[in-house]
Formats: sequence, C-alpha cells, structure tokens
Amino acid sequence: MAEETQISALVTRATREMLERRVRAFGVKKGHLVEQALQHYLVALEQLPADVIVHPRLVVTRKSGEAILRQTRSGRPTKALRKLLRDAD
Amino acid sequence: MQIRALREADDRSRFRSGDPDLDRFLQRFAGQNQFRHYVGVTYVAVEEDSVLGFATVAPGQVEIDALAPAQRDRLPRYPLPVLRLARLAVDRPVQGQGLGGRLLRFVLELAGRMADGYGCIGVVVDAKPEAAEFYARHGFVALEAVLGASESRPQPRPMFLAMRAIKAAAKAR
Repeated sequence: MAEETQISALVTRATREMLERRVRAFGVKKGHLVEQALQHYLVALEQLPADVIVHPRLVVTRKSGEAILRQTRSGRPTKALRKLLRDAD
Repeated sequence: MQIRALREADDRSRFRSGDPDLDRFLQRFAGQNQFRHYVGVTYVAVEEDSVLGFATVAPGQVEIDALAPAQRDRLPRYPLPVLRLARLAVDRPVQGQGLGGRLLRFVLELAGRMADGYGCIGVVVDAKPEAAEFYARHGFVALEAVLGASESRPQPRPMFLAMRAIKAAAKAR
C-alpha cells in the first residue's frame, strides 16, 4: 500500500458542499474522492498544456456581470446577428 | 460542405489557418480533449475529407464577483450556465468566404438547443484580439475576467452574447 500523507487546503463552500453530497451519495471516503479527483486533474494537466485547457468556470467583475444581466434581460440582436441566422435557411 | 463533430479518423495534418497555436490545437489536442478527456467537442467543416474550419466548444458557467446586494437578489444563487466557444479557425485557402460565420452560426444553434434541453444563458467566446471586432459586430460584449480566462497568448478576451438575442434573431427569420 502506498504511503499516505496529509494535505490541507482552503476551498469554497460550494466545492465543499459538492464534495460532501458526492461522498454521501456514493458512500466513498472523502480522502479517496479528493485523491481520485486530484489524480485525474493532474494527469490531464500533464497531457494537455495549460493554454489548451478551457476552464469551465469563468468569474467576471461586477461591471461585466452587470453587462451580462443587461444583455440577458433586454439584449437585442444586431443586424449582423439577424443576417447570420437568417442566412441559415 | 458539412459541419459535424470531429472524428478520430479525420486528417487534420494539412490544416493551416495562419495561427500556429490554433493549428497545433486542432492537430494535437482537439482529439485528446474530445475522445480521451471528454472536456470539449470540436466541430469541423469538411468537404471531400478536407477539414476547412473548426470550432471547439465546452459547457461552462459564469459567476459574478462581488455582485451588489440589490443585483444579487434579482439573480438565481447559482452559477449561470453558458456554452463556451473556445476556438474557431478557418483554413487559409477558404478564408474570407464566410465559413467563420457559418461555424459561428452552428455554435449559436448548438447553444440554442442547449438552452432548450438543459439551460444556457448565452455563449462566451474567448476572442483573440484580431477577432474581437467580428464578435462585437454580432452582438458579443467584452467581459473582464477575474478567474478562468484562457491562458493562450496573446491572451483572448472573453465576450458574451445572450441567449435572448440569439433566440430573437432566430425568430426573425
């Protein structure tokens, strides 16, 4: 059996809740799940350079967030967008 | 010409967009991403077995840093699902013939199906500096990232197009 050691890390509350949900649902040990997740991630990083990875989570500034909200509530298509989708027919 | 998901047998070795990073991505990493790691899908425009262009997408989520309390109350308290357009490129011999637009249209339609199927508030593109105007013309607005920006160089700028505008444009056909 491989020698074990302990690590500690600060994570967001959301990540911790996801971890605990998973542990409860599948009955695995927390340490096992964390090690598996780290192994998957680190092996993937070794095989893919950082610049080709698409981060699934994008955190934007408040100003950008407000722009997203405006677009989501009242954004209208530009002329070019209407033409782009109209030309599909 | 057909746009479809990349297949392992597709010959990508002859693709030259003029951007070595995009060419390297298609030739060496798009297949790994898709067939081994399942972290994204590359759609290719093909004609007679030649790859003429490609677009790589992955699901993602947007979070807003330090949102004001008044705004926070009007938003769902979870990350906002988006389709992330990570890369789009066209082979040099067919550049300037509208293929980039056809790939973008394909991606917007894909995002529309994602919205109908399981939720998507819009498309986030990682726009290279020289492509920012193309996306702005189609209604994408520039975002400032705190975390999760692409690590390519020169660093792309994330830009966002709302599903509302995509659906409205599709209805106006």
